[in-house]
Amino acid sequence: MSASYKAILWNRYKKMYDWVLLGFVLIYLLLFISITLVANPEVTQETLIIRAFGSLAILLLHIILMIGPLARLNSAFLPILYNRRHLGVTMFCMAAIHGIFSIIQFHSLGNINPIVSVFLSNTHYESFTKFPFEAFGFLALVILFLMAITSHDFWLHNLSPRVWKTLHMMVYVAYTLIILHVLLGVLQFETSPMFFSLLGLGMTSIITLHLISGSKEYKKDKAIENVNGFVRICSVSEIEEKRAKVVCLQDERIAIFKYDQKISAISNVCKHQNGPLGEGRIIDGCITCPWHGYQYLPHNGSSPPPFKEKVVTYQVKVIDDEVWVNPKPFAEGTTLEPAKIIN
Amino acid sequence: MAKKVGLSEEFFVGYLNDVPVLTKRFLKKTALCLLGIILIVATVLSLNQKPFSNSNFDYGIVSTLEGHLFLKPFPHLRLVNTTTNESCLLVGFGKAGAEKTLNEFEVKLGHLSGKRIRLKGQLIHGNGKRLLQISANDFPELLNEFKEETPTESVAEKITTHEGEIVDPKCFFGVMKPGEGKPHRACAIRCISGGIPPVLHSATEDYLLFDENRQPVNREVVSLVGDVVTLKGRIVTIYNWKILLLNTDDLKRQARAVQQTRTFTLMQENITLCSIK
Repeated sequence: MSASYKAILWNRYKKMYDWVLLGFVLIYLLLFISITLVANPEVTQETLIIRAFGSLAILLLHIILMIGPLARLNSAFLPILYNRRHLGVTMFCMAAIHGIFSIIQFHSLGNINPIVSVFLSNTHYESFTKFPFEAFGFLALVILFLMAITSHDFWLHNLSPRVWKTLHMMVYVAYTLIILHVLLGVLQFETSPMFFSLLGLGMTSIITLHLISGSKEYKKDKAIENVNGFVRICSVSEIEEKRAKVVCLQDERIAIFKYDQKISAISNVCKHQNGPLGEGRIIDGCITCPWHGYQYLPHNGSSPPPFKEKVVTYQVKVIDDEVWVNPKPFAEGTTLEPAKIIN
Repeated sequence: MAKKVGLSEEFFVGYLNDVPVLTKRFLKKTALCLLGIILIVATVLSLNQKPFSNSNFDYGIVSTLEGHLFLKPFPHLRLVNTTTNESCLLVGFGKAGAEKTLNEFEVKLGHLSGKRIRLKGQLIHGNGKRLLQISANDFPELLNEFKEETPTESVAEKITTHEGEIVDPKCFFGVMKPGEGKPHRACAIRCISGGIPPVLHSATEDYLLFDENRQPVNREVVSLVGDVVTLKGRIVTIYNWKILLLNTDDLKRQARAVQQTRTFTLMQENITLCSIK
């Protein structure tokens, strides 16, 4: 969390994360380049760069897209999600090197502008197998570029969380474009089944993980009956101390926290990156988001000063050891009396 | 006795310097798994690439060749001082033919066709052929020995049919690997559009493509580049190069067929879309 603009809020964990990431990047590049040079010494430097960086970008993109659902299924993966944006920017850099080298190699020094050439050299737009795959790659790179340059809380605040999140959900469009770029490009030339197998395995893993985590969330949401007015949620003992139970009422997820003999309810959606607040803990009296540690006071949904994030709050009652919540939200940051637990 | 805390009980907050013990252990295992994936993917991908050709581009190395320059049907230098019957195809810098550079030479040195010159450039060599990339900065040395303006050639009696992929010789014979196939299609189109004579790469031979009047067919073949095509023509041999002289009407018909297929495919897609609506 930061109350003022800082390029990167470094901490020990982020530094460690980035060193490990850098190590992985270097190991992949060195291994790919050295094995290719030994097994295929006739390769040109340009092809080596294009292929090494392009394949690494796709591998990183698969890892990035798996982190989200894995963290939903098992909170132990949350630390990998914590610094995912550095992974995303690294992936963009790898993709950009691949894209720039490809444009220089295949499209520059001709009789038309290289960018125009990407779209207008091969014009078989009517055919699936002959389709100009370069166009898919270029459009994906534009999306990844927009995501990379806005991968900062400065843009999150200025664009608003909704717009920012929508922009960053475009990663799935970019992923689809990249798969088409590979399928209709290099895989029309390379014939080894290993390429198809690896790509298929990656796609299947991503789709399966998303389906499993999505269905888990869906079941959780459907388990509660939606009724107007106060809704009975559970018994007090079902909520662990300094933790929350998440329920979906009138299509909004509400996090109901138990702490210090009290119960409070706020929106489950963190203002930072829509993180699941209900999966967080109360630390130092504040609800702490499991994704990036953004904090809110349970009784008013406001971040402690000097921070300014606020979420909506909900009325809670405890009647006969049962927790009841009114699904009608109060304005962001509204102070509501917590329900007292009487033993 | 202290209560044993499970991994799911631990709570990680990134900006707190201490990562919980079990979380740290889990992260180490995850990092090792990721390392394994990275090693496997890098190894599998690098080992399964198609072999690259042994052709080469002497990038940055300037070679000097001596021979008789011919501008038609394609710019080439009939090499002297070699025991083989070899001619070197001339190409320009980037994705361009040699004509523009040779015109600049002729503006300064006068008519060059048939004359013996010493020419500098960067060699491209593969599949038993040599090409020289020339630059307007490297003016040739004129040796004032004249030969006929047209090269010696032998023309086949029969018209034959050949199947192969249309490529650009500059990339195919050494500048790029791969210099053929789908990944290279756009580049080949740019090279051929820029004036480099197209080549039909068949299983047995590589043919430069011209029309029956020995005029370029670059414009006509552009829509066929990168695909496997069947072309019919008479073979002409000029030193170590084989040329396939194509009937322009046949070529146009073939290009039109490609165009019609494209229109038909588009129509089919439109019909499908209409029926969905």
